Amino acid sequence: MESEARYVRIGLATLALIALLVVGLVWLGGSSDDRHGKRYLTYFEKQSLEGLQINSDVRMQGIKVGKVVDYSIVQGEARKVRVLLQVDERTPVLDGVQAVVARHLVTGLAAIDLENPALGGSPLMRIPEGELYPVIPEGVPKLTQVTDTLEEMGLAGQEALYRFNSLLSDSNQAALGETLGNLNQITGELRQAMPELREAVASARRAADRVDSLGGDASVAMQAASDRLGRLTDETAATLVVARGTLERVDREAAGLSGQIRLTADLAGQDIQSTAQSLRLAGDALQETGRALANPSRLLYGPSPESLGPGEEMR
Amino acid sequence: MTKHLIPLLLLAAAWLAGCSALPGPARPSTHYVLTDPGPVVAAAATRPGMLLLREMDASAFYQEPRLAYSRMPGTRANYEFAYWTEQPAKRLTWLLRQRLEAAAAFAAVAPLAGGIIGEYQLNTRLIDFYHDAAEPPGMALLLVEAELVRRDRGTLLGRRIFVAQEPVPSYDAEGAAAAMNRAATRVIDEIVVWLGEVNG
Repeated sequence: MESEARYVRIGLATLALIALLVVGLVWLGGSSDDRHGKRYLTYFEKQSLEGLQINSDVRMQGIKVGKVVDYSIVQGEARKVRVLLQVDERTPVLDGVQAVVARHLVTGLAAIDLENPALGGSPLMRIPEGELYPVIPEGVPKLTQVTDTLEEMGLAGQEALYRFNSLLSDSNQAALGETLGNLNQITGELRQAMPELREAVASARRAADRVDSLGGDASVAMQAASDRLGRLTDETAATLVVARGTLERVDREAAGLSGQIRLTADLAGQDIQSTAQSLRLAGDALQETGRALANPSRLLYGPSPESLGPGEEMR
Repeated sequence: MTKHLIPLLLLAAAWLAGCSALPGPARPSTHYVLTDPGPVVAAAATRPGMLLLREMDASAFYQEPRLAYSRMPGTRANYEFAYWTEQPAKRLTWLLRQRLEAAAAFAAVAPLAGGIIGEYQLNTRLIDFYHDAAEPPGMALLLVEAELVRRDRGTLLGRRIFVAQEPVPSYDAEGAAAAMNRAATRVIDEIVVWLGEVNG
């Protein structure tokens, strides 16, 4: 009976220890930095990640703001490494931020520096399609920039030296010598011809003076001619205006006269028609009267009974 | 005195004898008015332009203002005591002008030689206008020839002869005048309609 009680106490103590262990583990897990940071992804392709480890520092402005949580080489792309970062929530990771690998020259340990854009910006929130976290693009470390600049300068200097060598080739040197010789000859000839040139210049100047004076005379003559021509043009225009008015007046009067003649001719034609008709009728009437006068007995004694019309009778 | 008196008495006796040989006063004549009793037939459409109407031509026979008749085909005679108040051709011209104005066949109608210019001219001729008395009471017959001329173009637009026959109600001048009035109305009606149909 006593032993059974002791077993119970041992079991309870064991259970308490296990529960304490679990609580401790939970406490330890909950207090880890994983619970207090944002995660970001970055892919490195141009920079070496030598010396980078899990829990390596993630820095911004030289201050540790997070750590490397995981990294792995991307499947199928041998030079591309996927690195998962965890950054303190209070750290502003802005849109346009770049990640560069910084390596301690003595220890060789690597860290990742986050470089926000100089002008600031909105927080980096966008999660690309197919990713779990926002992606920070890879930047270029300053040392690499310096190296690249030096390399470009070396290449440019090499090219300049090559061109200078080409310029000083034997053929170019010969051509340059020949050119200088020709220049020397020209200079000599120019020196000999200088008096003639001076005389020619003086002659040209005198000729220009004469032309100038002639030009002045010609200008005056042209001005006078232009004035006369202008007056003539004005007079011609005035004459044309008068002539046009006269022609229009003549045209109107001719049109009116034509209409008047037409009207008169028409009316005269009507009168002639009417007069001719009247004359014709008068002639017919005279004939009829003459025929009636040819029978005086009818005038004296009246109509005969045979000439009475229907229903007519003598009294 | 006696010597002068005797010839004067003889002359007066001769004059009286001559007068007694003349017939006595004739029966009075009747003057009829040629009219257009109507009714007025309106033209289908009014033709724009002025129509000048020339006075109707007529032969010498019809220039006498007496009613004409015919007892035998091919002959014409005048009633002795029945007169028109006006020569029938002149009267028909006037009636036609009145009717054309009333029917509005043209924008305006005026007589020729009236001092007016017109686009159209209507020439008419009275061919026959008499009482056909061959079979009592007879018929009134009117024949008029008309031609429409476009004066501003000098073209003949159309020519036609119009004939109207109307029965005479009584075998005398009065009946003849009544029938001749109706015949005049019919011919004028037909002329108005024809003027609306002529193209040009």
